[in-house]
Amino acid sequence: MVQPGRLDDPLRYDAPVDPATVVIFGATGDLTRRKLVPALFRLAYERRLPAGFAVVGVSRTAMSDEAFRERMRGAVEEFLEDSPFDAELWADFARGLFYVSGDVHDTNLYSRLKQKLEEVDRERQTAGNVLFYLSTQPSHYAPAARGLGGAGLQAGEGWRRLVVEKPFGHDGPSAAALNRELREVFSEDEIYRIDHYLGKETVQNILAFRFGNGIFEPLWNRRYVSHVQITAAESIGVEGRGAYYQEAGALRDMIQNHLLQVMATMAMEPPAAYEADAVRDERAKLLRAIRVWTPAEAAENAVAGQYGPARIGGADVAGFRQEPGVDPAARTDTYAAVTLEVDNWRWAGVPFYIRSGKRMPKRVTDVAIQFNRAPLAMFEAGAGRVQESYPNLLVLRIQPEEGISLRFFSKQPGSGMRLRPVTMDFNYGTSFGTRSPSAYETLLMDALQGDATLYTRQDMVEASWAVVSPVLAHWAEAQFEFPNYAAGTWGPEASDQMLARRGHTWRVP
Amino acid sequence: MLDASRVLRELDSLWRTTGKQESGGVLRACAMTMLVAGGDCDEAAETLADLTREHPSRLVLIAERPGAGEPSARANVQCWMPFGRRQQICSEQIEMEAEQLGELLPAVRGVLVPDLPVVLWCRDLALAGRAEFHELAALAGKVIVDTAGLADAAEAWAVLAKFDSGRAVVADLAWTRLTRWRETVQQAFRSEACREKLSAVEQVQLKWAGAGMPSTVAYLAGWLRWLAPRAELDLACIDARMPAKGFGRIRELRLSGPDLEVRLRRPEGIGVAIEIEGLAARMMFPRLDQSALLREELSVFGRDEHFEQALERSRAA
Ligand SMILES: NC(=O)c1ccc[n+]([C@@H]2O[C@H](COP(=O)([O-])OP(=O)(O)OC[C@H]3O[C@@H](n4cnc5c(N)ncnc54)[C@H](OP(=O)(O)O)[C@@H]3O)[C@@H](O)[C@H]2O)c1
Repeated sequence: MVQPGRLDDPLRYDAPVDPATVVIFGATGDLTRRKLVPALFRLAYERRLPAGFAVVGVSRTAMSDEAFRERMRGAVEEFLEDSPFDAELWADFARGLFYVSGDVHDTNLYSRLKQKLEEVDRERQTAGNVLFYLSTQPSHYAPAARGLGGAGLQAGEGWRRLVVEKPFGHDGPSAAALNRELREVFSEDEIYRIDHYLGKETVQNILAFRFGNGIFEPLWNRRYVSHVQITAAESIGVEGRGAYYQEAGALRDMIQNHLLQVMATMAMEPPAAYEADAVRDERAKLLRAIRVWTPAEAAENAVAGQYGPARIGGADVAGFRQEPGVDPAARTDTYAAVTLEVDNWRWAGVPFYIRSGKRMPKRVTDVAIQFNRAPLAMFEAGAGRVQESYPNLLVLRIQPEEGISLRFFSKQPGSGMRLRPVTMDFNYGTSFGTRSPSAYETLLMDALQGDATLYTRQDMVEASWAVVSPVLAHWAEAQFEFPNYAAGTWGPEASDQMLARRGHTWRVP
Repeated sequence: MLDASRVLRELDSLWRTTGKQESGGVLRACAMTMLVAGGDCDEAAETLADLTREHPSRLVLIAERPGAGEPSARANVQCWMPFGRRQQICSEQIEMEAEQLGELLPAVRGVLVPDLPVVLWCRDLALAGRAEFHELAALAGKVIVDTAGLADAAEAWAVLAKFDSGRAVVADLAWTRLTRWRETVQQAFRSEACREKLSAVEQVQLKWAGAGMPSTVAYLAGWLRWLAPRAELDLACIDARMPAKGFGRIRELRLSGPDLEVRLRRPEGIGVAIEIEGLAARMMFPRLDQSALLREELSVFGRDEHFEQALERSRAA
């Protein structure tokens, strides 16, 4: 008689991962090359993958298994982070890589895939478990799911799961339609909608910070918080992805998904347990509590921007409309800022300002919580109302220098009671000099273990589309004077005015 | 007398100069105080150098040397550039030396980093018999020893018994060496079907190399007793020769029952052959060095139930 629970020792090793095959649609694509296969190899390197493991790549380019292995080897050598490439381990890993070519719209592809999966299952002992990963154009998600269903691949001896990349729809109705199509083949608990921001260690750390400590949560509400600013800035432009980006824009590409998820993590109520549905219920509740603007309110509470050409550091930088593949009259928002309000007891009346843009002065993602001022400025008899200009600020830095800092006042050295703002800094690197797993390692591992905590659920997707829809609708009709900010600046003036109307200013991150 | 304040001032000025020299600035990293007592200090510092990245600490190396004269201390700062960053990360190291351990205790107390965990790595088991060592151990929340070098488990239990009354959690690297064996057993029983058959395990066999019954083997036996309380446990040394350092002594582990056969074999080198119901797979067990063992042990905070259960059962056997 063995005590099964005693086999697991979470202090020292992970829960077991079922043997499985990962089928990647879009196997020759950019994401597979840069992120997915390097992440899987890294997991193998750390001995976190089961012995019975295989990857089957699918895309149109004709290729043998061997050629696919060679190609992936190049990708891993180029993109593996923080560890040397180990040729012996690669050889072992590569034996589990296979390839099937075909078009997602072609039903024959799925019968070939089925046959391949049967062979792979026998050879690699993957117990019939299959994780399908859709890393191809969004317009292929539904045809791929249909194809899998048509060939009966959605069910089998083991479990079946479907990971869907972003974007999940381009507005509310298309997200709902996509969901209906996927749900005809897979059930909700088999669908894993990826939002790689949730896989970032520092986003998960927001939960640890809030719910692992007793001292912050009491301040985390409208009584103490003046407002919240969420920033995701990139210094680069569209880097050859202009054609894709011009259809999306910053509001769809960053705010609707990633930043609303970050906001939900920062603002949600404590879940009763750290379990997939408990956590996701709270995130979903928060997203549903965000007020959906009327058309007039949407005009007031959102700003679109697009960068124009500039000279940065002695070099000419193209404006968005001059980027390759971009329509010279494109109306795309390369910058978006919105003001949101949450209608619940905790947050009523606290504005949440979210902004994201390309070609900003630097790359940074953070969440800043600005607290109310001390009720009385007793040290400020004279001039220089310093306490007013520098209220307490708690910044959760997500990238690149992950950490947390708190700004508060301290007495300046010398006679008299003059105050000066100072910051107290916790840098992730100070306590953990080691590498953190990449978001894709975390998320792939979770999907293999059947843990959906960090994946988005359909109700969350719907709620976040509902939040941005009025803004999208307003922008579809609006007249823009684009470009309205120069590359290398913090965005259009209208964005500053949006905050000024509520008596606030954007911080410089 | 050795003055802790002087050592801390020295550290402080080192930080200032390091900060000035580095254009990108330095990040001072510290998550605990790591005390090291016994054995060769240089060797210990080298072992720990690999670890400072994951477990940055104020490292305090405590050495006893006959003829050392007046107690003395030296401070220095160790820096490294993490992959893909521009800022160096630095941690600090203090070496202390005296003829008698007891002479260093006040200074050690003075240089502990306030409010952060203290870990003591005891590299010489003979220290366990001395009163002043126990004063040192009392400063730590966790004491790490390694009994794997002792010829027999009984000696290991005698050493560990000396720590019993202390408030620190004691960890033994001889136990840490078993993690991958235990993990492989868990993985062998990963499938649901296999887990169901667990209750049918009737016999457990454990074979090792090197004469005597080392603590590592005894721990694994203890853990197996906890895992399968009713199974019959069969222990055998199958090769009196001692394997090369770092490769471990366990050769085979077999769990069987009427409807089940799981066998892990490690004939030589770094490969482990796993057979479950006739299906074979291979796994790598690379050489384990002390850095790897410490790395794991330092990430385990608080009590470790599996270790305690295994220890209790191996002592009782
Ligand atoms: N790249 C990123 O950093 C990133 C980040 C987040 C999310 N995403 C999302 O991830 C997905 C993939 O992005 P990506 O950048 O990797 O795209 P990509 O480089 O354009 O790759 C597309 C892949 O799909 C295959 N493909 C195209 N048409 C096909 C068809 N009709 N049938 C079968 N296969 C077909 C292509 O290979 P063949 O030409 O050989 O068929 C290629 O392997 C997208 O949904 C994207 O939004 C990407």
